[in-house]
Amino acid sequence: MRLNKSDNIPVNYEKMKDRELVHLFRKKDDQLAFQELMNRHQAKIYSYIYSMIQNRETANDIFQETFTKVITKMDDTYNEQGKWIAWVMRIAHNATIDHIRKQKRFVDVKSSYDEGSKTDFYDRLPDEDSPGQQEKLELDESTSSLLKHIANLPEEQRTVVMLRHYYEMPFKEIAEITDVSINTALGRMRYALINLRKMFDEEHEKESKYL
Amino acid sequence: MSKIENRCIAYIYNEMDPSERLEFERELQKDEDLLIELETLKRTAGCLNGLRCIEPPEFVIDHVKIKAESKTVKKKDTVSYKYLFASAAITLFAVMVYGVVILQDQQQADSADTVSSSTPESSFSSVGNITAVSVGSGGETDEVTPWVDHDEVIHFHERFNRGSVASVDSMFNHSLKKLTRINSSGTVQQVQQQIHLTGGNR
Repeated sequence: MRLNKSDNIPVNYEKMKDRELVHLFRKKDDQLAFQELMNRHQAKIYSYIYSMIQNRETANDIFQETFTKVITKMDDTYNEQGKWIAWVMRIAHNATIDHIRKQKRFVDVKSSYDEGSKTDFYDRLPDEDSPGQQEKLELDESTSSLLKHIANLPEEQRTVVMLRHYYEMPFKEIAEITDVSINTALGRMRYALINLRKMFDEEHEKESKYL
Repeated sequence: MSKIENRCIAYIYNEMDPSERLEFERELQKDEDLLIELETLKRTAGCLNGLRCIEPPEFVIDHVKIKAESKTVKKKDTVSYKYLFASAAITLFAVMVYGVVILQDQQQADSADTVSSSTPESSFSSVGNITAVSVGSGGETDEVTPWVDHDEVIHFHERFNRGSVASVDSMFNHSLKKLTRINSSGTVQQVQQQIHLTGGNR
């Protein structure tokens, strides 16, 4: 059997569908199948968590928490009829949102809704540790700049953008994961793009002033 | 929130079926503002393509893999414990059954000794409604204890020697004596009781 050089995973595992790999791991405790699943999705899941949290240490913790739940719940909760990755993303999303809400609960100020940006105080509040305050990942310039802007989006808009970008998840599935209607999910994406456009424009203006 | 503007997003991200798409394109030709909005949204969405995936640190991946392996080990442990418990239960049950059989044999042997020493010949002794029949033949004594099953049928069985046919006959006659004649047909209708006598000369 030919092995993948990097992880010693047999090449035939790479050709298998997620469903087959999940089946192998669940029924035969096949560690290689689980590693192949990890290889396929770890970067996207981590990127989603990091883009929502914008802190390396916390992203590491939530990533581990997500996979701990995936491993322990796979036998009981996961229904093999559904997409495995959608199930994992729901776990990752819930863990991320739980963390964000926990952080916000400690802030003792009144929420104030801003009509202009359609955000409240909590949405404008930077997460626990915004980029720059903590150790940042070494990212390319464009990713770093985009993440900075995405971090300023309200949480629900950020969620839709990230789920769509990293997973090309249909808006119907995004709506299911975030417990909203498909029209709301589409609307959030539209507002996110409008807000990002404003941020890009402001940045361009600032840059042109300095030049 | 306007639905038609949301449809711009569905159009950009190819989430429209062909007929919807065609209809939306017709609307775009008529509505210039909608076309401008679509183009702006499309450009911004294109900027997001610069967003690259971020790999998790190696130690985090290793930690997850260790968790997955330990789960497998735990599962195997649980399975082996299950087999262990099952085999222990079966062994215990077998020992108990064997013990009961041995005990019963010993009790039967003891009672046979007692009967043979007290009544060397065949005799009947009443225990409640059930009669125990002792059969003695050539120094060998067996006690036959009839029992009643849930259908109210009396059973008795024991091995007899060829020489003890007379004893069996006497036991049979004794059983017959217990049968009472039915005088009233009404009683039969009211009380339905049956006595089956079974026995064999083996």
